[in-house]
This record gives sequence, structure tokens and C-alpha cells, in this order.
Amino acid sequence: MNVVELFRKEAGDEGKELFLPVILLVDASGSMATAGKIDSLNQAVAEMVAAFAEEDRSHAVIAVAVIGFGGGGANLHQPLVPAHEMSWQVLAAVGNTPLGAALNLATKLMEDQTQLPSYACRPAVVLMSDGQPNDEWEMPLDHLHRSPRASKAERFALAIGDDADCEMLQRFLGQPGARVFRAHEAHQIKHFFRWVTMTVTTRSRSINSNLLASPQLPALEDLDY
Amino acid sequence: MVTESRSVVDQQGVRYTLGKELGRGGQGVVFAVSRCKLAVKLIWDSDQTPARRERLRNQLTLVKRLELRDLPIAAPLEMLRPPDFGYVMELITGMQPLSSLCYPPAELTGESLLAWYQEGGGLRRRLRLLGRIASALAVLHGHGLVYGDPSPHNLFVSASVDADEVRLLDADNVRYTSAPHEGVLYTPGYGAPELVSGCSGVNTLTDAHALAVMAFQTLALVHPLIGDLVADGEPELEGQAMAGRLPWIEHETEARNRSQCGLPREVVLSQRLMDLCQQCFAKGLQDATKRPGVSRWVERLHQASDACLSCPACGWTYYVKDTTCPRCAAPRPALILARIHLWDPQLGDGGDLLQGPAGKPRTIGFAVATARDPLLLGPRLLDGRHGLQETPRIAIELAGCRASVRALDGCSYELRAGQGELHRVESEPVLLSLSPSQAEWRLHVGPRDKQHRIVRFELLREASDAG
Repeated sequence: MNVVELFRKEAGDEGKELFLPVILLVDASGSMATAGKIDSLNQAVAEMVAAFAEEDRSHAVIAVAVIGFGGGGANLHQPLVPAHEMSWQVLAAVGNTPLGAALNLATKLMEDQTQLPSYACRPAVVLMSDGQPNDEWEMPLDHLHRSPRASKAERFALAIGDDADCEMLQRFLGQPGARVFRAHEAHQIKHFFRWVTMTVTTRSRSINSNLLASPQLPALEDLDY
Repeated sequence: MVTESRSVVDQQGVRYTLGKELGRGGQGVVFAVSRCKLAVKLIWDSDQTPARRERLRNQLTLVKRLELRDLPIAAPLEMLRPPDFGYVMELITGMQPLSSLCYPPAELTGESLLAWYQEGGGLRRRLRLLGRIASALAVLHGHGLVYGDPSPHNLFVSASVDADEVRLLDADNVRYTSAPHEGVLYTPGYGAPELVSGCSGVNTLTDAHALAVMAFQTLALVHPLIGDLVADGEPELEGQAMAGRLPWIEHETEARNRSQCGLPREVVLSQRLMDLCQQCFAKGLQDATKRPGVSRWVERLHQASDACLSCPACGWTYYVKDTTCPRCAAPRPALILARIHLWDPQLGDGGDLLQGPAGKPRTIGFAVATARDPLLLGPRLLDGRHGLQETPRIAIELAGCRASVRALDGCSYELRAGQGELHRVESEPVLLSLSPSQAEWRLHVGPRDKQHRIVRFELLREASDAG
């Protein structure tokens, strides 16, 4: 049963339970075997998934898929599952860094409507790497940018290791000066998810957003600490 | 016993005369060096083979590199020459072990115990210090390293209650997570059950267990696994408790190891901290994979300290949802609630605040200011950057029904009201009129064409006024 069927089943026949897919692109190449980087990466994935699983699930859930890339090429290490049901199998680091192949696999996954239906939220793609790929990755990234559905994905980058090439990670993000997270901030990424569906186009850019009066706020009940 | 005149020699041939003993733990003893700002750690280890010396050398080299990156680790300087085994390190001054805040003198009870708690900075300072200790461990873990033996004896905090610095003292235990485990080392009381039973070496989750125990103990003044059953029972029961074979003192269903000791849990532990304790000490006791990692403690400890305010009558610090002071019952004072949201320029006209999964504007964090607690906002709340340095950027103070907002970092921030009124917040304070339960002011902490966080202000009157 894939994640879509699972949510349909839980929500009843007519139910279309909202979910936000997060695709983790996880660098398990040989360069990650040095200076504790693979430990750092495994730790960051576990922390991130735990943080996702903690989100309020009454209206929607976060689902996670993991694409690992290393000596064996790029593989779907973990198909999409709800974050709260996922148990992370640690990765070992070996071989070269086929980022391009991983990007292609991610694009394919996002374009597949059986995996990500139109009512799913815009996916998030999180690249976790030391930023030192050794295959041709720019064409696959360009392809991801131009694909109808994959292009809507929010991109995040998490630098692993002190020698991480942040410039490469920023090119993945597509904006100069965009924020690259550090490994110990992995649990922060969930605070940036937009929770809008694939079908809803982003509302027009607006500078004048203060036209609406602020609603009355609940006193303190909603504060979570 | 080491005599006053004992001296040791380092690898470079420099001789150090050992002075006062500063601390003593399971693995060694630390001395001040006479007449200079250095300390010497002598490690008790019968295994002084060349391989063991080489391992220590590697660990110290690793830590020297980390220290350069501002991690608050007491910097090791040089290894000692045989027959001594240990190293010379910088002397940290003006700090004391965390144990000074979690082990109250035995003779204190009732009011005198509360007074002692408050003299150590009370609840809010304990949360802040624990948050910083957790942050330091999280940064280490982010580098793929573990601290190895976190305990209240080797984690140091500012001696002055006006400062919140922390320092990790035991550089020689830091190692890569995946390094083969070479002998199990822990401080009794703080070793995870899998270390106590010898099933596992140290890893990030054994660090997380020790942190959880220290957090509970520092806040509630009682060890989470030592209930009345253990404290009043046979010595073997303590061994069972440390091996995770007895329920923890606040177990949801198993009440046989409850404790009469310590402060009321609901006063010192926020709901989310209590949830973490339940995960850590119930399921996570026997199954380490169910144990929350250190970064979840970082987030929740900081959130909890942000949610504290001080009582204008007695100075006790407590959580904002309490409507009266838990110590003196004075009503909660008027306060400014500052909520942090993410502004997204791609979501226009009223939808510009990022939503959470339930479709409501997502409150990423919040903090409070009262007439006696000015609020200083730094990178953690304004950018979500969880580093070790927290330089305040914006100060918010409450004066009557008005908020005074100013920038501390020389920047200029945009502040808007619902009707479009615009101010610039710079180094001169801007005064805002606030109405209760309305959050019309938005302080933008980034340029409007880029995603950034905003702060919304809301006034809450004194709790008795609000009914």
C-alpha cells in the first residue's frame, strides 16, 4: 500500500487526507565517511523525522521519502511513509557522489501522480550533503526546475561537515544568499513548510498585506511550550 | 593523596606545580596550577599503554580543533609526560559545576529550599543554562561527535546569577559516534541503562539520557529514577533503577516508585518538557531509539525559558500560563506577548503568514516581557539560528500600556500597524500603544521581498483584571 492509499483508507472513501511530502536527498558517498560526517547526517535525519512526527496530525501529516546516493548510485532508500511511522535505518558512506542521478529520481517521484496526487501539499526537497558531487548534476537540477510539478517543490539544503561546499548547496537552492542550514538545525526546517496544495497557485505577490485587520487572538491557550 | 608540592611535566618539558583540587569525578581529578591560569587533569587509568596514550592524544587534537570554532569546551593545551597520565588545560574562572544548582544542601526544606532555588537564579535561569548545555551538546552531535559522559560535575555554569555561560570540561571523552567503543565510562546516576548494563558504548542517545536526567534534576531537585521505593529501600534497588528496570518517579501508570521529594513538577516543568521526560524515562529507558535526541531538548528548554516571567512581588520566575505566582500567589503582572511568525512575500493579502498543518498562522515561537523583564530577541527567535552565541538584536520593554521597541544591532526594522501606519525601529526607542488581545503591530526583521520572520505584539493585562 503506498502512502496515498494509506491516507485514503484512514480518511474514508471520500476523504482526501492532506499530506506534505518531504523528499530527503541523502549523501552517502565516500567523502562522508571522514570526520564524523556520516554520523552527523544519520543524526540529522533522525532528528528531522522526529520533529516532523511531532507535528499536529489532526488535519494533515508529513510523509517522508529518502533517496540515498553513493557508491551504489541513487536509490529510493525509503519510500514515502508518514513521518510518525518511519524508523530510520542508518546509512553507511561509500563510493562516489551521484547527485545528478538522485535529482533525476526525485523529479521522477514528484511527477508521478500515483505517488504525489494533486491534493498533496507542495513537496519539500531537502538536500543533505557535504556539497561535493562528482557527476553531472546541473542538467538534472535544471530539469527539476522546469518540470511542471517538481518545480513547485520547496528546496532546502543542510550542510554536513565543516568542509561543506556551501556554494554548491546554494546553487541547489537557486538563490544566492539563500539560507543553508547546519546539521544541528535539522529540526528547524519544518518551520518553513508552506502547507499549500499542488493545485493552489501561489497567490499574487503583494506588498500591501496589511489591508486586513488582525483577528482577535486567543489569550494564551494556543501557546505551546 | 596528592600533596600540595606535587608537580607534573608536560610533553614539552614544562613543569607545573599542582595547587588546589578543583574537582573530582569518576575518571580523574582536576587541579589548579600554582601561580598561573592553567589547570591539570590527571586521569585515573591503569591502562597506560602506548595505544591508550595515542588515543588520548587524538582526542585532545580533535577537541583543540573544535575549540577554535567557539564550542564552549575547556581548551586542552598539552599532554603530560609519563609516569603521569593526563593533560594541561586552560583554567576556567568564575564558573561552578552544574551540581551547585541541582543538589540542594540536605538540611534545606520548605521555604529555605525555595529560597535556595531562587538564589541560584530560579526556574528561568535554570532553563536557560540547561538550554545552553543542550545547545552545546547538539552542536557537538551535529559534528558527528559525542561528549561521552555528561554529568553535573563536568558541565560548568557561571557562578554569578547574572550570567548564563556554560562550559564543557571533559575534553578527553569527546569522540566520534561511530568510533569503536573502548571501555564504558559514565558517572553513576547519569549513565543510560544500556551503558550501565554494558550493552552499548557511548553515543548521542546516551548523551541525551544524561542530559534528560540533569534537566529533570536541576529543575525539580530530585533524580527522575530515584523515587521513595529506591531511596528508602535496599541498595540493590538503586542498581535496578539505574539499569532501567524500575518505573521512573512520574510514570503515567506505574506509581510504585513515586517520590515525595523535590519541587512540584507542574510548577517547574512545562507541558512539553514533561512530555519529553515521559518519552525519555518511560519507553526511552529500555529502548534508546524511542528516546528524544538532544536537539528536541534544545528547542523545548529554550521555549520554556521564553515562556517565563518574574513575579513583581517576590521575584520567583514562573510560566506564563500560571495566573498567580506559585510561590506568593500574587497575580500574574501585565505583560507583552511577542509572537514570532514567518512572513512569506509569495503569500499575499492576509495569507502572508506561513500556515501550520491545521491551516492557522503558525506561531514559531513566542516570548514575554513584563515591567521588570525586558525582552531581548536574538538570532534564535528572529532567524531560527541555533548557535552558541546569542547576541540580542531587538529589545522590547513594557511601560504602562505601551511597548518600547528598539534595535540593539544598529539595523533599521520596519514596524507596521493594521491600518498601514509605519515606523522605523532603530536605536532610539519607538513607543507603541497596545490594546489587550489585539496584535495589530508587526515588526519585520528582514526585507519585505524576502521570506523572514515577524514579531507581533499583544498586551495582556494583570491576571486579576482580566478575570
